[in-house]
Amino acid sequence: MKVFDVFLRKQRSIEKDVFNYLYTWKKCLEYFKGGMEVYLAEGLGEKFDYYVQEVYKTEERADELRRKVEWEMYSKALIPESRGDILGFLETMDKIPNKAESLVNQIKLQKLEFPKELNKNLERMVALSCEAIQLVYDAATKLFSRNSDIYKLADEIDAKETECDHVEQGMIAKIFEMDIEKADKILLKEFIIELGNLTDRAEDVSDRLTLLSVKRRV
Amino acid sequence: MFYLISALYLGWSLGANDAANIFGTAVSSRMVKFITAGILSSIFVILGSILEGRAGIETISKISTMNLATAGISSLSAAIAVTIMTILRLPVSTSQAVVGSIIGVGVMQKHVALTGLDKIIICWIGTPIGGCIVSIILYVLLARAVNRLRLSWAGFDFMMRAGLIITGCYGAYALGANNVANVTAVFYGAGFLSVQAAALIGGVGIALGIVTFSKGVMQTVGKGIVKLDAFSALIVVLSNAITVHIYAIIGVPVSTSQAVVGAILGIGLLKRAEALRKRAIIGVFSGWIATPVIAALVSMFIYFVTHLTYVG
Repeated sequence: MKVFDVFLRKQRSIEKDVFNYLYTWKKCLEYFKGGMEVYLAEGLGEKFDYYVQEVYKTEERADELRRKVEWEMYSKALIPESRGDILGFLETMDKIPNKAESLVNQIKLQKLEFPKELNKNLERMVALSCEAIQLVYDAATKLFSRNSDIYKLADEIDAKETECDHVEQGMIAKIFEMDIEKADKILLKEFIIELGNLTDRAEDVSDRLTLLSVKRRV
Repeated sequence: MFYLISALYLGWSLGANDAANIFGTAVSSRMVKFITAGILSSIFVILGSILEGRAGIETISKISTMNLATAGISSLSAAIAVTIMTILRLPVSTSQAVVGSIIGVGVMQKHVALTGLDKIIICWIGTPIGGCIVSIILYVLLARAVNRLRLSWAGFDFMMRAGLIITGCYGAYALGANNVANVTAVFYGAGFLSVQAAALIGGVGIALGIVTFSKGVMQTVGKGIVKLDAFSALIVVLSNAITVHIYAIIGVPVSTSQAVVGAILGIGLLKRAEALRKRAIIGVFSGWIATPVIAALVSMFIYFVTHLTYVG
């Protein structure tokens, strides 16, 4: 209703910025997914570099939008609970694109090359991480557009994280059974652990969103 | 005129103290600017006083058989008692201070009017109990409605903010309707003011206290209430307003602070959580006993001093 829109101006303005942030956040992770697919299919190269650049740009843009929302929250007098909740949500959310940026950076700067026999596992880990991230996005938009139950999505994210942990353990074990340089083993292991962290972060956001959903019920 | 100044002083201290129970949450958490809260509550306090203050004014005037001078003493004593207790950081109720000071003057005049006193005392005890019951009922009903609405984050935020402003206005209206009698009823009883004039002058006195001095108290009291979640804070403010309004209709000035304590206790009981500190409970008893006793002593002292005669 138009009348309510006048009074809801402040909330709507912040809500719009939160959705802009979520959109950019999603874009950043789509570039991450695209970059990883290129890397798995073709290895390092110009095409991969393009995706890395896009991840950088969108991550930076997401940071700007996050700061804007934080600034607006305090200047536009929301209820105190909302301020703390949204601040906490944005902080945990922000760790995901940061991690994605760090991962593509590692591949680019350390010129990481995965042995062919690990490709399938790596592909699976990337897929699980991206699916968990998509679920986080779905849960966040659901919560901000209408407070519908997000518990089912949280359960799915949890399941992805558990499966990802298994794949991660299996991969690390495999790496140390391989006949490659110890330094390479350590670099690959580090990368795998960081990739696994992506679903851990997704689970953190999901926990926070669940809490937010519970808090909105009185 | 001098006598009316003491009434305005009492009204001013009432406004400065009690507005915090209404808009404290919204102002201390920066949801509403103090200037907005101050203007809104002043308008609604005056409206409440004029439209529904009559019943309370008539009840209080019944327990006082005063002339203009003793009415002035009674007002001044109640205001001094409230000031002393505020300085000592003790919980204070203006309604109870006024009744105490009227009784003090009555004792000195060797004529205590007991008509209506029983009704007043029952209502004092009934205030926190009423606040408690109203908050439990409101919480259960409104929580069900809010959960059914499944509001978005922005919708929920808007509802809480708008709710606090609307209930704040209603609370100010109820405060004016209920508490204006504390300020000027004795002057109506003394035949110095008409009911309408007593309601208007009392309302203006309370409004002056709100706009000039309630900001600091709002910050302190509001932060105490805001520890509750937004919805519970809203229920507390609304329960306070409804309880105090009911007593305004009955015609007995009661303490908004005690209605708030009762409302918080109700939510605590409902959530099975300890929402109140011992100090708040002690405050209720102190309001019932210490405040009227101190006010009575002050009024007896002032009466004694003003009636000293020079024997040469």
